[in-house]
Amino acid sequence: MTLLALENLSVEISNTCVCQDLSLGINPGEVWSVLGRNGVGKSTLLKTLAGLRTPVSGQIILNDQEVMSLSRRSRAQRLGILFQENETLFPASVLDTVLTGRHPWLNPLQGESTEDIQKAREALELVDLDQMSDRSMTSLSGGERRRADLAALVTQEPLVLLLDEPSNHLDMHYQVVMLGNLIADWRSRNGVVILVMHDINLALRFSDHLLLLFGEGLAESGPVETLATEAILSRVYNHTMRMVSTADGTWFYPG
Amino acid sequence: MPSSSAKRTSSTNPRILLALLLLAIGAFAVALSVGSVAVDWAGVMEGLRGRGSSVDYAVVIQLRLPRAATAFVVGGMLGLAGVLMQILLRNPLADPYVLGVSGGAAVAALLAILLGWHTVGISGAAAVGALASMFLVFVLSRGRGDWSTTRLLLTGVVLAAGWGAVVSFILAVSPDAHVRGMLFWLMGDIRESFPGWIRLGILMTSLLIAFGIARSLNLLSLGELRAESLGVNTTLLRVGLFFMAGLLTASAVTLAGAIGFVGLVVPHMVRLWGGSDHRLVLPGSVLLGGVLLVLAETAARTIMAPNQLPVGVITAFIGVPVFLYLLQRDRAGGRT
Repeated sequence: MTLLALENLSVEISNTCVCQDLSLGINPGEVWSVLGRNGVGKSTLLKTLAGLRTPVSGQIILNDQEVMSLSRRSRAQRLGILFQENETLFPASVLDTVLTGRHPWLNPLQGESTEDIQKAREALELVDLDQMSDRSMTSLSGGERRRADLAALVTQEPLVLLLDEPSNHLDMHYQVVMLGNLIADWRSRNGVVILVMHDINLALRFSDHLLLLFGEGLAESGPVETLATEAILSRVYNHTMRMVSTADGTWFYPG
Repeated sequence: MPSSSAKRTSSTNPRILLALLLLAIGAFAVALSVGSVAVDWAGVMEGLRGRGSSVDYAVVIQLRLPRAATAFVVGGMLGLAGVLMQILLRNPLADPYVLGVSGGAAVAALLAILLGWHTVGISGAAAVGALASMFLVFVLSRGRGDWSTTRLLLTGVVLAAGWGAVVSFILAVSPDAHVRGMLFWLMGDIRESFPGWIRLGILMTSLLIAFGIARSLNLLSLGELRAESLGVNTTLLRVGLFFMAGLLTASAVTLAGAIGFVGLVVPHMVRLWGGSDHRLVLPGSVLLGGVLLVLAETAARTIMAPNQLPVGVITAFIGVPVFLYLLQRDRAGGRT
């Protein structure tokens, strides 16, 4: 049974068509990557999936329920999104920032319980920031801040993870190991992960399905094996892409 | 550190609030005992119990307590309005007056003074001016599409500048006899009136509501979209913040004129002291704003006694160096 389904979804931003009548089904435990050129609307699509933008037409069905018809609270319990960039107005501690993920699970006047704090600490361990929980967010490096934001998302415990450029600012080790662990974790919980990435090889390493956006509303979706070819990826980026095969698998690079 | 395994960083919250509460009691003690007529502690206590000499009673209960109470409520309102405005506008430099609420009040109050109205009439005019300005900003900034922070800020700032020009115009054409009263009003001046139950009610209700949504305010300071993604109705929240901050500012301004710096500086002082969790910042700013204004009011009537200074001058004298110091310290700590 599909966990997340798009039905005839049409999304637009500033009169640019991101996708037109797009339909697809995502099963529990699947990891999808959205690939496309700059400005093709990948982040817009992700925000629409998160219920933060109203689509022009069509529906997003999560567990047999229309996402836009869910209450804000239950939507936030099911869908979590990592934004491309985050802002801070007043510096909060790393732990307090990670604890914001518990908001959808708490009643208005309820404070965070020991259990919530425990969850935040476990998430900080997952991103290797458990030693920095008392530091101010503004004192962290870009990569550390990215990891703290990921930890906040883990603490939110949504079934569907929407990650916009999660590897931004991360070094190779954290890209492969930390993101890898996070994604494997969601797979084993029968959740869904949707990634927007520019690093094709990292995207292919993690995902089993692809959604390709070609611009002007053209899109194609399917399993990685059928879509990850030189010809199709060259069309996605409007740039020649070449493939090499090594003992570790196949790799793409711009020609 | 194993000891911190299940503790969160802000576990010192109650202690800071307790310290501020003690400070508030201390500030009231100073305000009641200091002044042109010296009243010792025994006299203050007797006066509060409604006993003691008639002079002590008159000075403590009829003169100083109402002024101190007014100062505390006004300071609390400005501190709270400052916090809400900084979150609403996503700008640490925002203060309660940035959106022109006080400007509208000032124009109306000055016109009332020009017409020779008395205290009640001036306050009433200021209230009408403040509320009219608030609605004008709201309607003009909505425009078409989203209610964006930038458009709200620009609309408010431009309107405030417009009110400023009208104030200058009124000052320029008014007869000299009225100008001194006008300047006192503009600098902020606490008259000897009790704050009144309605204003106290507005302050307490606003604080309770704001405290109830404190976690949402924490999220809003991380970004509107991020708050929305965590289940916060940001549109409703921001409209609510706008009217709550506006109403608090209007109440404060009609009671005591446009007293500066409290609303800007107090929230930052509380944040630098106790962190930026709004469950602490909101009640902390009410208490510290109240303390600061009670002390400033006491200073205003004692420094050059028997002459009285406008309270706004004192808060600026305290606020500017404290704020600059905190900013320097903050930069040294690598936080900005």
